[in-house]
Amino acid sequence: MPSPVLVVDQLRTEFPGPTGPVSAVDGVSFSVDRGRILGLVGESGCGKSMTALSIMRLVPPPGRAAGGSVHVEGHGDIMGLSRSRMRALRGGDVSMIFQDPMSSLNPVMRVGEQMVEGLRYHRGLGRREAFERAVEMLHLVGIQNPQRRVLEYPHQMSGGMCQRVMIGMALCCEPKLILADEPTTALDVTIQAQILRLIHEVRERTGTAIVLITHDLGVIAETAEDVCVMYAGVIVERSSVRRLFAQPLHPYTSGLLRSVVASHDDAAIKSPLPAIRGSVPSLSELPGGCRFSDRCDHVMERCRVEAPVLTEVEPGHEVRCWLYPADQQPSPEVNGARETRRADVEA
Amino acid sequence: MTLGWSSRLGRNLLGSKEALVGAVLVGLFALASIAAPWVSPADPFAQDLAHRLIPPAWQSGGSLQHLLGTDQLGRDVLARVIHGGRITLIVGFACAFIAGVVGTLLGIVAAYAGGRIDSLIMRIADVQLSLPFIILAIALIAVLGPSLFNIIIVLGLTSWVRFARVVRAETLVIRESNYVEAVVALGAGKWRIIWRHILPNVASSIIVVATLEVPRLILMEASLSFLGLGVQPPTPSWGSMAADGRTYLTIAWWLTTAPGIAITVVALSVNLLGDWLRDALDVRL
Repeated sequence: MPSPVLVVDQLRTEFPGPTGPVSAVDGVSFSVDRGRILGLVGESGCGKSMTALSIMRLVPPPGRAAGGSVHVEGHGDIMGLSRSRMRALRGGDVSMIFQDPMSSLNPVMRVGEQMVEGLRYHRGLGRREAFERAVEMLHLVGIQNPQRRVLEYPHQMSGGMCQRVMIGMALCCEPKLILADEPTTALDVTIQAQILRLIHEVRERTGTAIVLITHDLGVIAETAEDVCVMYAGVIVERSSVRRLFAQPLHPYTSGLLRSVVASHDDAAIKSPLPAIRGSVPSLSELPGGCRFSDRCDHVMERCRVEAPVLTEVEPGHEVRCWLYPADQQPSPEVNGARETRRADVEA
Repeated sequence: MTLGWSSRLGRNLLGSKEALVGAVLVGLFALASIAAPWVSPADPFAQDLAHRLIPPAWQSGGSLQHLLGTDQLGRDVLARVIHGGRITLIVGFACAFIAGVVGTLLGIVAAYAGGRIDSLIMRIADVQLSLPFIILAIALIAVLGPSLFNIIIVLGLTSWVRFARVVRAETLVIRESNYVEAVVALGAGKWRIIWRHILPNVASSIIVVATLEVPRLILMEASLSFLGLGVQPPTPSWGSMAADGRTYLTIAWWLTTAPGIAITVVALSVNLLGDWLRDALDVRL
């Protein structure tokens, strides 16, 4: 019986907008089991980073949480936790790593010092103990000469090494869940491969669940097992990685896959790069009905009028699109929980 | 194995010539001030009207008994410079310290509190900067009475503004930085962030401001003493000595020049030391 470490249900995060509040995260639901890697993929501005920040309850003001629940194993719904308990959670059972490793480390603190700080706060270790554990963590993330590196400053390390340090810091207190927000975007491709491999190793060794946020489908293909595709604040398709790449259902997903050039395909290289027409709408000016309707090649009348709901088309593969109408029971919004709701009947 | 910053300073100081000079000079003046009663060749208060206005030892008419000559009341100038250094250095460093602490605190509070509190603090700062310092000082000393303690309060409390502005601006930037975001995601609370992440990063700016403030405060003390608002005679301070020597400038130049050179040397040394300190604490160099 898979045990979810994280269950996100109808999460909403609002920002004040020119014509009223806009939801950067609009009813997002997913769950992650122990030891699984879930990919959250989408373009810039689709709300994937904001989803992670919302889970950590670190939404920058003037944004605010506007609904939904986030259940973390052992902590219940964390949306209602007090500030001090949230602080204990962050870096404890739930960790987050960020996009640009070089700027995610305090430039005037030695790397070991930053790790020690977290360890002493969360685990109450003494200085010496914490220091030794920090060296251990650096070794775990594949840094050579950890005893020497631990005394270095961030500017003395390369981007890849800094990201390893960040991963080490995130792992210090043996979290149940790691939210990785574009961990490889700021790194070059070869280092990217190493970091992704490291993420896999970490999962193997510690059984930590990982939510991997990225705009790069290649990263998803290589590293994640399940994936949610986001667009304009909602999940438009959810499935296993294998099924998504084999048979993408949502027009947005197929558009994304088409726009990646296959390097071995000479004909594709010479022809113009296929792109999804139009551009991502501003959240305060979303098209009526389906959010993707003004860019979709398969748009129908219904799409402009009525917003589709997430429907399970095959086991484990859900899509939010009127191409797959919900004549049958619409899917449960949350993976794993077999709740059913009344079908949305076509008007 | 040491993770602290203090270990780097010792090694670095020996490497920079300018810093060494600055450190040595400040050190000398500081030592002389502390050890004044033992180091001073004479009693700075002892008047000897028979030997008024004796020129420095190397001039004709000078004597080795009074290396820098005597003033209009026959008091040994060198002794007065050494004792006067106590007042001046105390004022300079103590005020910079008070202003630094108060200013940094207010700067961080303003940056973190935002809104009304921020506006209030910054408006007070603006008002204070726009008032001519001397007028403010005169008013305050008139109320509090002239004394060393009161000057320190007055100068300290009116100099916080430069620190506060710089610290506030930097805090606002650092708060939004990626590494603070990362540490918040690892569970750090406000105070831990201020103490361990913001302060070390604003430290270099604070040092630069302090480097500029110490000489300025020394000169301010000199001005106040010049106007009679500072330490009262017969207590020597470099400022009051320079003021008193004005009348005799054409016939006894050493009365003003000796304290004047002392002020200049200390100001220069503090600048050199401050520059070095800022560079030494910067881990990226």
